[in-house]
Amino acid sequence: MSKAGKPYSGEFGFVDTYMYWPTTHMVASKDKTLECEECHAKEGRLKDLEIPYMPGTGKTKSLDLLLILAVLATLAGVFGHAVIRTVTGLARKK
Amino acid sequence: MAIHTIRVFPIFERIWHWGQALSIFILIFTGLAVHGTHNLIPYGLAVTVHTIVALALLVLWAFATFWLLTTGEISHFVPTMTAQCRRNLFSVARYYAFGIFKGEHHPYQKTMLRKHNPLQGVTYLLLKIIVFPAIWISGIAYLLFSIGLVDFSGVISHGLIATIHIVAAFIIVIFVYLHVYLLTTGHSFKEHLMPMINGKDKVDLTKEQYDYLVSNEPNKLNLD
Repeated sequence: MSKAGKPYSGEFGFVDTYMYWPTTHMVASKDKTLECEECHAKEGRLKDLEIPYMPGTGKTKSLDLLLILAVLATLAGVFGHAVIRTVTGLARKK
Repeated sequence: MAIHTIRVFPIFERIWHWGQALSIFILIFTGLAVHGTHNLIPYGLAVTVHTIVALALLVLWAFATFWLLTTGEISHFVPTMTAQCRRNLFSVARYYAFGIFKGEHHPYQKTMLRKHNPLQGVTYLLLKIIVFPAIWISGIAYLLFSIGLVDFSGVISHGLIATIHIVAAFIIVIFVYLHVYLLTTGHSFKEHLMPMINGKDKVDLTKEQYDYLVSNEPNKLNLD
């Protein structure tokens, strides 16, 4: 201390110290692991990343809309066909 | 020509059909969960079930392909491009578009060499050579990519593989709707359903075909 030019009281002792060792290679314990849904969700952890495609994030909005419209158009076509069949069928019976 | 009730769908074809139907329902349900359309089952479970059922269906398809080729049943799916066939296709399409509303009868009668009407034949062929390959090739590519076995970057993007898979899946959904709806046409839903359960249906047989069945495959005949 005299060499460092610092004042020294002459008293010494032990202090509590802590040391952190990543013995599990920083892998979380089983009860703290991520669930699939934490990323594969609309408001998932990776929502701000620019990922081309990730299932479950609902980012393919225009494709989804197009496909749902195609399914609805099919259902409407089938329903319309069934209605015309029923109506013309009843008309024939009269 | 005379109408006989014969075994049209052998037991393997019926197991194939219903196994495939069940698989497709499970795959659509779990596929929509993976895609994020619904949250009815946990994400991890959906991925696991989707993968296992898809691989099981591929095994079934391998058996079905072997069966189609070895029994010669594939001929029911191979189009014949004669003028008569085109007329038959047109008359079936016209029936569903107009004739059905006027109380006409279905213009097609099953024969021994064609157990599907022309419209069915074309639909199944397009499914077999375009939609199903699109879904299983993209599915396997996606799986290999996901587990890190193959890197397709530079050839095709991950997103495009997924898009092909999703579009093909929706075409299959639309097919299922139309397929089930068409069962309600004709005399009854049950009448269309039963051949795929007990295998029996009415087929127009020539004298030669009838004689052939009598002497070679009598167990297929007279099932009324």
